[in-house]
Amino acid sequence: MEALFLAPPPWEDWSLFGQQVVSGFATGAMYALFALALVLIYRSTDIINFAQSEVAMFGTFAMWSLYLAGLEAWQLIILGVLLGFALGAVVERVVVRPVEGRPHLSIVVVTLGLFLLFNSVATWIWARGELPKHFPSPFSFEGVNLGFTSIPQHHLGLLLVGAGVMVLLVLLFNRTKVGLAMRATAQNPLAAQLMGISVGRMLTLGWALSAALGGLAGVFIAPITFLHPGYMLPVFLYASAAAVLGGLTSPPGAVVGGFVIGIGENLLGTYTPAKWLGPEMKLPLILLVLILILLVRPTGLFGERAVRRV
Amino acid sequence: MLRLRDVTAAYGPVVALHQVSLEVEEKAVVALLGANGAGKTTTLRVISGLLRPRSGVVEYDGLQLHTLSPDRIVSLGIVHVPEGRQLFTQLTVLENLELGAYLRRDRAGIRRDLEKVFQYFPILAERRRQHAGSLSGGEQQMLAIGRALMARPRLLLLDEPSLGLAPMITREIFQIIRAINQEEGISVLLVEQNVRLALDISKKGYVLETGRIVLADTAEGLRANEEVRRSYLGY
Amino acid sequence: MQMEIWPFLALLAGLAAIAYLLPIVPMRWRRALAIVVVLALLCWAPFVLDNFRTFQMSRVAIMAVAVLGLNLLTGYNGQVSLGHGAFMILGMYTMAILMDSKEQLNFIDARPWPFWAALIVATGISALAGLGIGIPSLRLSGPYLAIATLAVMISITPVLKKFGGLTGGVQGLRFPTPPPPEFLKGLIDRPDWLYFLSLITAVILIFLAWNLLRSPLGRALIAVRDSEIAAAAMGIPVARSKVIAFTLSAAYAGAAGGVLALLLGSVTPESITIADSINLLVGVVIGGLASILGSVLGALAVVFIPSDAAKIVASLPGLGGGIVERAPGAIQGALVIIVMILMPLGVAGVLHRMAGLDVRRLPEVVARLPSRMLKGAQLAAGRFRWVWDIRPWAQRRPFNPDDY
Ligand SMILES: Nc1ncnc2c1ncn2[C@@H]1O[C@H](COP(=O)(O)OP(=O)(O)OP(=O)(O)O)[C@@H](O)[C@H]1O
Ligand SMILES: [Mg+2]
Repeated sequence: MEALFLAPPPWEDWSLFGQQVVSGFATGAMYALFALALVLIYRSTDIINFAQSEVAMFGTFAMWSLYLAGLEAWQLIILGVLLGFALGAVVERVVVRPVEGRPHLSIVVVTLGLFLLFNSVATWIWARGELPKHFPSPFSFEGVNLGFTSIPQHHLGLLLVGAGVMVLLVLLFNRTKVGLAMRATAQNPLAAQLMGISVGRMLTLGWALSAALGGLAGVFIAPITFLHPGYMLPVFLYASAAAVLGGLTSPPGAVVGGFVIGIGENLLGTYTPAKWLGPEMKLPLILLVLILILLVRPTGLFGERAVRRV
Repeated sequence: MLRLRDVTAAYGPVVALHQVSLEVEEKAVVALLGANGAGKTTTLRVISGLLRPRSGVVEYDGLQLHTLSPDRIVSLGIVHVPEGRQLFTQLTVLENLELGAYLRRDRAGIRRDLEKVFQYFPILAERRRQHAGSLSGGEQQMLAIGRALMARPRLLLLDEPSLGLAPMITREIFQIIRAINQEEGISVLLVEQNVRLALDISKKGYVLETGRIVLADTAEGLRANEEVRRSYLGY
Repeated sequence: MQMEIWPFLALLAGLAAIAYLLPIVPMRWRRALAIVVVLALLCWAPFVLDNFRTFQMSRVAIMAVAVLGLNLLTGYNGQVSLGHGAFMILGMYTMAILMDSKEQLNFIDARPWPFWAALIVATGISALAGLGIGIPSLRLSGPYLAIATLAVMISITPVLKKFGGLTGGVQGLRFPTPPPPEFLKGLIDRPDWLYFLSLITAVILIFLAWNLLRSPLGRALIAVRDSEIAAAAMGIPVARSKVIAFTLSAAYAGAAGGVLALLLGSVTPESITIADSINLLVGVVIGGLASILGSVLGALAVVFIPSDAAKIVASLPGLGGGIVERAPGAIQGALVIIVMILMPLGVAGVLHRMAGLDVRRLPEVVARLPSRMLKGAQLAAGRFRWVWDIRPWAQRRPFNPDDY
């Protein structure tokens, strides 16, 4: 008899199932961070930043150069986040600021231009010799026994770091003055200006934070997928699916969406019906589900209903 | 303390102010009157830095205000309560008030001022955890003024505080404005359609017509003026 | 006689501008005259350009159709799609299946269809697909629609590879391209014939779009874009207009795909990628939203910037040749960004303003140019001031109530 799935079904191998779910949580944490980055931009600038993945990829390649120069993996993570922060700030100041206030589509096209620019420059500088390149992780890939199953240490690290960063973000936005000012600016820039908030600076900060989150996801995902100029694009697709699923305006929605997509990706990749679909149909299937959900809830699971103005 | 000299301002090709000159003295309430579209809101926008004048000078304690950014102008103690309130509707009352004190670093002073705002507007204390968007129109106007007070201003720019409010509430708010002016010594530049109430609490007033100052006088003078009576007071 | 492409395009633009601006004929005939001049030069093109450039010009004609199609949806109707490549590739596959002489389908006999019939079917099938996607899209707006359509585009490549019974899987399909008809034998060769096919298709579809946009339906599309509520209040059926826009726009993309398949003589799942799909939108916005001329200019940009821009920039003195040439996407990306910053309404927006010029006032305008350029530079500097205005946070004096 032909096997139903490519892998042994859950009822025959619960450990495998558990492992897929837990590592789905781990990659989901990274998708969630990336989706949060998208939500941050969407709330302040009202667009989806299509350059997000390539800025992260560019930063991670820069870290790879530093790795060759002898830096430690954990140093690369810190520097990667900082570089992301700086790149985000520069991008906002130099190319987004001049088109601020223009129709959204103009800003979207600028981010598409940035996508091409970063992708091409990274290809030109780093994509020589053997690809993909190995990228170090501060954790090992040895299994950690969780009782019911075991997953690689790196994935456990992903999960913990992701959760930690989310807590930090909650604190930033709910417990600090700058966070409050950023929320205020996203909501009503005019009023924010009248409070003495420098709206421009908040926008720069938003883009910088967003790119820093992207950079963090970049250096944590590279050890799993290995490094090549297109390695963040699927992450962007999954993360934008997560953000849209959560509703684009909702940070908790992005987190839930990230975990759902992460687990869904792992399970679909493992348990595809062998006869009909292969693992390569994983992405289309996830996107199909996304579209179906959107048709039922046009602004995602937690998104605000679009306000209609005359 | 604040003086506009020959200020001309425009939105693209639309010139909204022609050579406007006016002055607000220390600790005074000054009314700025005029029909719809006369340029009252535009005048306030120029003062608070939201709109750069095309020509002319805005002076404040010897500083050239028209060269400064809005956040710098707030830091100098000029706070604009805009038309339509512009609250952060999805933030709580308390968060709105905190944002009013955004540029201040003196925690103790901020806490004292918060108490003071709650004294002026007790209803805000009750509603402090509620979203600003869920307040009634009168409460929203109180929050807008309270939020401005949190910056500890020297000059308040109030744009139509009575907009959409019942007469009772309007009178209450005007009493509080007068109290704020007298007790805190805060100057007020008041834009208002309700001319009678505005002149009651003002020392002097200006009348704008299609972007030009056509009349400037003391409150009594304006009340007695034939034109003003006919056009704005209705008797 | 042989000509390089850039002198040819310059000649084209120059003659069109002269025809349009010089008071040779009365005002109302000038646009028609300019179009006649452009068409005449385009008919001349395959005889003076080499084969590669002729091929590229065919691609421009095809992309003009596709970009115009997307412009009908995005520029005129306000719906953003990143998935129009999917309709193009649908048109390509329909064409290839119908033109193939092998027995791909049991229910179609083994004889290849005539290309024009296949093209009509390809357009129709894409239109149907557009209808099928347009109706559910009514529920989505803005970024949600953009992501959903992008998802369609991403999914189509693996689906085409997986279900190879009809599509030939990874290998794709090949078929013989149609030869020139009998009466033209000897006059033009096969590539030239394909060029003329693309050109004729483009001209017909552009003309149809022009007519459509001036009809009540066209005005309805625009009214819905500007405000759905106001349009509904005027009695315009909003939902129907949006679905019609989607259907039409998909039909244009499908027709473009069909002709592209003819030009290439083959199709694979990778014939149209996500990048192509995104490029369509870039073409629309760079050329000019809601502008037919803009769509054509966008198509020129989409075809020629990737192939030539890097080389041209690299050949400028002082730019160290090789460096730039190795990163053509960088030049393309930078150009897209610069155009967006400097030309809010796209290239067509600039041309429309220039077309408003009266030639008799030309000396006056030229005399004013320096002062206007200075003013423009000042404005631009104002826009960019933020770039270098990076005062540290501390320098701004916080408000301190005790100062007073
Ligand atoms: N953002 C804008 N763009 C273009 N024109 C504007 C803008 N805001 C105001 N105007 C024009 O400037 C003129 C003055 O407007 P302003 O808002 O200052 O009037 P106002 O005296 O405050 O009127 P109201 O009592 O209705 O609030 C009006 O003719 C108005 O049409
Ligand atoms: Mg007003």
